[in-house]
Amino acid sequence: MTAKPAPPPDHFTLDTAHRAALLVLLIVPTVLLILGSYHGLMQVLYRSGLIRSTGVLGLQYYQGLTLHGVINALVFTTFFEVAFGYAVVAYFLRQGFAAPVTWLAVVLMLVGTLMAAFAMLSGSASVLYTFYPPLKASPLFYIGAALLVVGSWIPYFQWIPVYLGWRRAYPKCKTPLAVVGMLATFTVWFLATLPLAYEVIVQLIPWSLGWTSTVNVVLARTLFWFFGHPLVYFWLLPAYVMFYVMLPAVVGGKLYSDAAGRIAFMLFIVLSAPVGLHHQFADPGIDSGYKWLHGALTFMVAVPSFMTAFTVAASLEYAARARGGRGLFGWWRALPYLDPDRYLFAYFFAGLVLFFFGGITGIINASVSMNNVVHNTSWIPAHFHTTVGGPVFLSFLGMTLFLLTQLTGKRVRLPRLNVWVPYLWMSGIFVFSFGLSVAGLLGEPRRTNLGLTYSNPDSPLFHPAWEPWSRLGAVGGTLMAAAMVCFFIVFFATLFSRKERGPRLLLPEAEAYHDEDVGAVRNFTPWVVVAIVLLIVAYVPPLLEVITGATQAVPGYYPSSPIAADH
Amino acid sequence: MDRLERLTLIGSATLMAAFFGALVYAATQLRISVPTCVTDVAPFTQGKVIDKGNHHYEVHMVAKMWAFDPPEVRLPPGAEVDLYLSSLDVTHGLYIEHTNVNLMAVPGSVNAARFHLDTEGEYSAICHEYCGAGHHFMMGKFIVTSAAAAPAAVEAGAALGQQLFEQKGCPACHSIDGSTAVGPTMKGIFGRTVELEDGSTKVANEQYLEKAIRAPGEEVVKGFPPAMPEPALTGAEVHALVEYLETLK
Repeated sequence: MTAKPAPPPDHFTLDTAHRAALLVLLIVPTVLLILGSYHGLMQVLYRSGLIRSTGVLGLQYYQGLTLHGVINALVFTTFFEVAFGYAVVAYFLRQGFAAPVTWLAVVLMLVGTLMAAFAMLSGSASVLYTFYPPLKASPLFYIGAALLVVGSWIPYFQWIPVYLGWRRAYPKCKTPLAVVGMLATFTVWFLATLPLAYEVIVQLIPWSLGWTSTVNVVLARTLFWFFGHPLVYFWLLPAYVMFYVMLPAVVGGKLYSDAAGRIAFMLFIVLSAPVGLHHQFADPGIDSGYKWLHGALTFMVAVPSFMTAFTVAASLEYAARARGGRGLFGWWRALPYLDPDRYLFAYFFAGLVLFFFGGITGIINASVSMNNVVHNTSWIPAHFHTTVGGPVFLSFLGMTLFLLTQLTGKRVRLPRLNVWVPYLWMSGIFVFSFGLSVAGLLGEPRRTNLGLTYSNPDSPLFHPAWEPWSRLGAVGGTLMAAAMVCFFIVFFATLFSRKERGPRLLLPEAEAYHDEDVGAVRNFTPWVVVAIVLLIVAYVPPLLEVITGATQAVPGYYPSSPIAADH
Repeated sequence: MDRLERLTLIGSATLMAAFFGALVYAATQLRISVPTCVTDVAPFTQGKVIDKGNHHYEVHMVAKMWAFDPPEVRLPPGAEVDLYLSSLDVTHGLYIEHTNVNLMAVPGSVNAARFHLDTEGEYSAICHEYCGAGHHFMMGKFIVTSAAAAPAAVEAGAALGQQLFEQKGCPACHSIDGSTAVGPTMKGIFGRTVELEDGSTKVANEQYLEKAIRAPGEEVVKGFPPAMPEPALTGAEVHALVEYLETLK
């Protein structure tokens, strides 16, 4: 007789230690997000020339840009994903974890974040979230980043034995799709953060402490992007977990195909990392053949995203028809866009609309020689605000609120305002990204304090052709900031409201419409092996070329001075 | 697997293959590709333009905090250019507007592109990678003109000084509108009494300014980092700069 796991009881919840840990992981980055979002708004004001200054309120432009990137893209996402991963693995496998180990992870991540935040706020780490050497920051910044990453590894190694134990207990059952997705997410993360750890721990920390005097910049850049593109999938995959498993349940439908989700997650394990050189198409010191190889692999990683788009749309159609939707396209009208009780749908849907554009612009960026037109122009932030700033950010925000209400037993306050937040954000992104895309095609650089020069009629560098588009970007950025203000009002009103019931953990879970059991995607091992083989093929030759080739190690510079830092 | 799902899979894979085919066509037939590893040119520290004859030019461009060397490259229309790019300090970028030239300037390495500019005019060469506090001032120029020799060259005086001030990247640290950046403002600098790091004071007259430009590390103004590099300037150029500074009331 096949043992089957019992359905989760309605009163399933986490123990107190884990509820507290998850609340810390959700609330701390949301508070930091206030600072991160403020600097997002400041970006568009500076860039459009509405502010012509090196800094405002004691914080410099590039310092603010560093805070914006590090908090929004690295801290908020990593904290959320660890919290979400614990919730998913615990709920779907009905398991607990050793609280001291979980808390070790939380403390490491918190201490790392505080160290990096101190370095950034004190102005000694204005190196942006890509921290390319030989720009040099305070050692606190690099050590903080390393602690954040190491802390985020711990949960992965806590979940693996729990997962293996479940597999042994229920050998005939498919692993719940959400668990497959979160394990895939952290497998991608673990493989990707190894080269980052090498860059930070072996190259940058000793160098920033003054123990070594020079650094091989091309090597550091290659290791960073070895990490940097899988990072994108580390952001995206938890959103895919929500789209596959939770979105159909929220709208009262079914997941169109369970196997599609499993195949997509396994393909991401294989293909998310051996593609990083597409961020270095414009770099010297790397043979263009390797760039072409990574370009081709990047095109392949688009396929599981196409699959996801199809499956999600098909699941939505199934739900819409079940709700009475009719017609070839008319069924779109039957979805609960503004239902305050199903606000997760609004967050997911607005993100998916943005991702349509994010996916297309992503394919453009990966198109090897076409990258010449857009590389490092404002087209790039226009693109990634429709990906990490679209489906990723919105689904994380919605789920943060959802988990908060579950873990605390509170009810979402201002629900009607809440359900509009994702649409306001989506409109803001559309305007912002449209402005920045056009400006980018006209040559406007990203990460530049344009207000002082390129957007300044009094400067010899003034570029009037970019100005209207930067202004449009500012309109969009202001709408985005308004959406964030609304979100923070809802979040904190909910957080500080009275408890209405006991804590619980009840995650939406959709049944599958096509529920095939594909043997090839039952186990992670073969896919991880293929991933490692592909990584070796894609990265060992260019890394050897960089290490043994014509590139030289060079001294460091602080961002404030053109004189080498060791002088 | 569901029929529609299989169709999606095959359809999207075909679409991506078609896109890739277009890129391969562009690379092999139209010669539009990305930079490769340069092994025959060692990293250099001096910018120069070499006329190889037969409408062929070689440009050695050095990116540094926060200017390009040479700051201006003059070319005849249709010239075939081999551009080599390196960096003296941190990572910079170079994007020549209205072209496909889009390169990273990475210290310890040399990047390259081949291009030609057919239409007369000025093309901004923009640093598009964050390179420190003065990044937004870092722009060079490619000037395409059939005018035989150099333009009506500014030879001396405040006008030359102003040109040098802008080309050498001075505005990245020194404003001329009174605002404070990395270094002190140049507005009203002439005749101002400045307090130095050791607490002594000096009047910023001609001698003081010339010395401050030639040996910037010796008398650092209080409250500012000793961040200014020694510039490569002739005596006449330093003189012209001082004349320009005198005009900044």
